[in-house]
Amino acid sequence: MRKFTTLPLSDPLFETFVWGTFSDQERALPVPTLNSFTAHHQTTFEIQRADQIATPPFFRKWAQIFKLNRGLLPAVTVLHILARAEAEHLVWNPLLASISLVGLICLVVGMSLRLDFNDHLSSWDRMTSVGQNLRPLQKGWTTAIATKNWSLFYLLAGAFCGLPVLVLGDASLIVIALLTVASVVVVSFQKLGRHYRLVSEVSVFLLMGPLLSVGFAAAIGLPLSGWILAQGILVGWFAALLVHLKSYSQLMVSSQLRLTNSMTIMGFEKGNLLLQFWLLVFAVMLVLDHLIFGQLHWALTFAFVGTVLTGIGIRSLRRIRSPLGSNFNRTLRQVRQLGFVLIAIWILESVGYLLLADLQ
Amino acid sequence: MDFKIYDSRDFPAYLPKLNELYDDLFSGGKGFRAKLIRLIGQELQLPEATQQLLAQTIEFIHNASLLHDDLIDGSPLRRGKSAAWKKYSPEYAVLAGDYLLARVMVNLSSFGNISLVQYTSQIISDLLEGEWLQDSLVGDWNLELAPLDRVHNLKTASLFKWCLRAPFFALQESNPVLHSTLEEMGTLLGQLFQRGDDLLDFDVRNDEGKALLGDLQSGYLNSFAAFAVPLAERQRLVGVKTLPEFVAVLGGQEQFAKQVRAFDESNQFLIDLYHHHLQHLATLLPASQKSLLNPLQPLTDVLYWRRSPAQAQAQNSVAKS
Repeated sequence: MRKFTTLPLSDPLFETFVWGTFSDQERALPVPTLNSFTAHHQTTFEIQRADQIATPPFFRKWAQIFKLNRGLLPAVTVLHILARAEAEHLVWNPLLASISLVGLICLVVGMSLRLDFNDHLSSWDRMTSVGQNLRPLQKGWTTAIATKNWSLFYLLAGAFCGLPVLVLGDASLIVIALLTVASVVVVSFQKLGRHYRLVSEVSVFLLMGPLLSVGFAAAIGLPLSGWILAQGILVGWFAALLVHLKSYSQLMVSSQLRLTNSMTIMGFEKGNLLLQFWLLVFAVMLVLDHLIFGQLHWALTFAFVGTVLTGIGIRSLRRIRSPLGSNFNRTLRQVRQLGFVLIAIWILESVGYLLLADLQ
Repeated sequence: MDFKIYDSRDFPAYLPKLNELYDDLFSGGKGFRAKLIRLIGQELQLPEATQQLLAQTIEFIHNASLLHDDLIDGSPLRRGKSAAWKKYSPEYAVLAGDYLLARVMVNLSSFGNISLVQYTSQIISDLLEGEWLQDSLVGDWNLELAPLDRVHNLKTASLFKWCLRAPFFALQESNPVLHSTLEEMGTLLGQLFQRGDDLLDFDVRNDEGKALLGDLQSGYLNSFAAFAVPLAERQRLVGVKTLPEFVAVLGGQEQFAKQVRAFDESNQFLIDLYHHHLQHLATLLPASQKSLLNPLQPLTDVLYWRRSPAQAQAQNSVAKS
């Protein structure tokens, strides 16, 4: 016989269940709901023994809990800037570069964990992740309190890594650091989180894009240039594409909750057009970046691959008929993967620069 | 108990065909939702006139949805007779459905309970959203259960939610925790009803003799088909006309029976959850209203297992003993 407990949000016990502190031996798994009205007033938990919850192997489990893949984008920017700096024999500080990279990844992981924690506390995950798509917190792999603590640890570690950079680096870094903190706050805090505010989309663009590239370059002592800003804009644009894809996949629930983001403002069809536009512009920007700052053969490569991939992506997006259709989430995953293929080619280009620098 | 919720005087006598169309439409229905409202209304000691209004409201909304539904699905039959759009015209079917919804608003607003009017409007809007979304899924053979649940929550469950919550609105009882519990119970009843109904399509517990494979032939993959047929085999469903053909897609009679058992087992989660909410509801009701649990107890048996209320009572007694 299954064991359930339903608690109103106002119940003094509610917090202990939702945070996972009510018992050492048991986990309270929130039961998904299709009703936003219910989610605003009470939560039903299925109580399971912690040692009976099925979990994947250790590394996969923690990689999913920590969302380590989120660290990929900042790592790509860093790799690209460093590779180019090496190829052009620019002077940069390896120690500060290492500290900055670790700090950036910590910040991104900390922010992701904070968002998971917020989604869990606000019942957002109960409404959006149902069926086969449950998140680690919903599956009882970890508790909300542990997620919050890990988030705090990573955010502090990120900030701690930033300290030597601020002390040793250029004064302009203080401005960048302040902007970064503001963006982290906007994205991470529950009331202002990415699901709720249009401004969060802009913050993700800035945080993963220009702030990151310009900040990193300044931190390691590289001279600021149009090329560095362009790299930030490219990655930021791609990060914003990922946010738009997520918002589009959650359009139905966001709309029912009357949340305001680009997708709920534009609606199903125009939102789809926005995704097509965003993907196309990303590919065009990659070509322009290489035409202006790079080499012609890379511009031609991106022009060819970009045309093929965006063609596939746009054709798939145009075939979406329903927010509940079987091809809906599959197509959004495909577009995401197509974007990452372009990013992978970009990484290859960076590796090429590094090899070239070695040869010289 | 008088289940008659429609009187020809409710509609203008001077509109050609309207009364005839409604006579056809309302006769032959089981009036399950109206009966549920009556049972709940009696336990909550609602005045007779209020019970009548609520019963009429739910039947009007339900029948309006049937008028529109049959037209959208192109179903030629309703309750063993020609569907309204077929017998009269698509235009009349649309207008008659719209008129029923308009009457709902006129009647409810005369009752003067703004919360009830607001909630009813929301339910009608949910119902139409569900219809709209369901139409967008026609011909999609690769669906999974989760998106179907969202459609059924809007389209089917909204009426069950209304049956459970509206009597409390009529009593001016708006405790959000109580309503949340009733909302979840309504969702579960709607899902169980829909899943039980979807099984009828494959002649499982089909004592009422419902036509087989109606959903598949309308190009709509229902919950049992989505559960039972592996994704790799879905395209084979196109053009399936008979039950033996469907059974063959699953790999034979034994496999079919196995999938039905697995489907029943997976739905037991919803049944357990419903009974948990029922227990939780008991903690929210004052002593004078606790008898409400009696008519709500056997509903999962009636709606999913398709047992008669008497059979369900017997089943419950066995389970308790």
